[in-house]
Amino acid sequence: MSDLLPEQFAELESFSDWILASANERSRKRVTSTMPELKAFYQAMMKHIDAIIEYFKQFSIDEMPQDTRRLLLMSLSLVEISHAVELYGQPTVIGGLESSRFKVVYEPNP
Amino acid sequence: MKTVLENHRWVKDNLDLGTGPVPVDSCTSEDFYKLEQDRVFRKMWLNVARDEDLPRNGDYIVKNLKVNNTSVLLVRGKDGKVRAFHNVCQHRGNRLAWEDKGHCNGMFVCRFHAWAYDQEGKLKYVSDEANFYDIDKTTLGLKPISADVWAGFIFINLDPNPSETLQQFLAGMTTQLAGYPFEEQPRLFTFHIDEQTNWKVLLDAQNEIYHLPFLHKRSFPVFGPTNAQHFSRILAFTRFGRHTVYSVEEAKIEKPTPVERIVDGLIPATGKLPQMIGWFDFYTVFPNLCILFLGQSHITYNIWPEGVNRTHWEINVYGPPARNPAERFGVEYRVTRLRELWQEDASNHEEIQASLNTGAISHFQFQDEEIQIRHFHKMIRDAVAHA
Repeated sequence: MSDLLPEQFAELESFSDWILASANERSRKRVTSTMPELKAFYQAMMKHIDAIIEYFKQFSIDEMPQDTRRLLLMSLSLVEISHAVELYGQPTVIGGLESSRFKVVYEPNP
Repeated sequence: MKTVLENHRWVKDNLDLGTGPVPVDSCTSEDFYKLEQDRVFRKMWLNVARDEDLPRNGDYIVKNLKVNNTSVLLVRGKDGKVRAFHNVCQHRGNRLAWEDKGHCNGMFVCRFHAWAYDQEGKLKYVSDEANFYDIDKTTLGLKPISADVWAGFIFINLDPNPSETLQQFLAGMTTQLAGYPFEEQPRLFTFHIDEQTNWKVLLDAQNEIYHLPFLHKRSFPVFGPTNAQHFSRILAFTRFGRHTVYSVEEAKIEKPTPVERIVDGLIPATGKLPQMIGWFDFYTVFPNLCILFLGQSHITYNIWPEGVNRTHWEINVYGPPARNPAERFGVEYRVTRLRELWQEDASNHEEIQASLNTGAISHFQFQDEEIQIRHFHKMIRDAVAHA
């Protein structure tokens, strides 16, 4: 069994390709995914999200174990794709400037 | 609710701004752009950095401003004071500091002939000095640029003798914002967007909420109060000299999305900061800085002209840093949701510019809720007319 993620969220490890360290990477993966792929990830995460948030509250941002950090990065991907699923019904911003032209040059780490 | 949902609320108290159409030539004319370069961007106070960009004495950053063809070297000296210089060696004009940022332990040394300047810009060392003729080091310090700081915002002015101090330039804005806890809101995110558009087209598009119910119906279906016809109404429009702020009252979001609802639960309720006028305050600080205040955060836009049809937009998001991963989730949500809105805005900018360039319209038509745009265009035209 892989220990990418905290044990109680091991079911989500099939979505490990959403563990991405930067906003630019998460944005790129969103716009190059299909809607069924985004919905599958969204639904899987939303099943656990309340428990994930509660789990997160016990850690300081500066002292997270690595598996929690990976779960956080996966959750930040949920944030990124939530707009596609909840606002637009498609991967990209309807009528929007391409995401690749909005360069994130500084962000919190993580 | 305090917002008065009527029509024609602002112009009657701002008769100097008029109600007529405003020419578009300021956004398309090369001649106008040249005048802006001289009479706006070489005369006005320009925000180029924040105190946090120079955290220690000896730190420096370089800002290369295309609009006024200036490479600005900003240094926090040994005395803690921020100074600005032309980033140019006084020997034969080589660039002095080549990195965008760094730390100077003693001197800035030119890589060409090793002339060296201290952190106050004084020329301290000329290699092979004896082989020069009558060289006077005291007259060959780095060429200074006027610099001053307000509330941690570092401003420069290319006018060697600015007609106003920074405090005078900022006018009553400094009173309105006195004591705002900027220092509790470090930088969290920076976005860079390069657009084929005039800088004022970009700024205008941000400087009103009339467009919110239409352009942003998906990203922000609720943003402030609307009248019976569902048109947006700001709470207040306030002028401070060349600068303005429009303020919006909060409107309840009846149908948050599932993730939005989770994020709302993560944000502790706090009282409104006393410096705020509304729930959302959008300042246009002439000429090219916008400061947006929302909740316990603020956002800045530095809108840098690079040509009549070219703009570099820098967006910085500031706020209390997340202390745990749950808060980090909340911060990411709020910022990425705003980024969706900015993407919706930005796709218009280039199309508008292309259309203006065809000459298909000669004038902008502004309604009462666009009065801050009207004010901004008047400030620009006044500055450009003033030699």
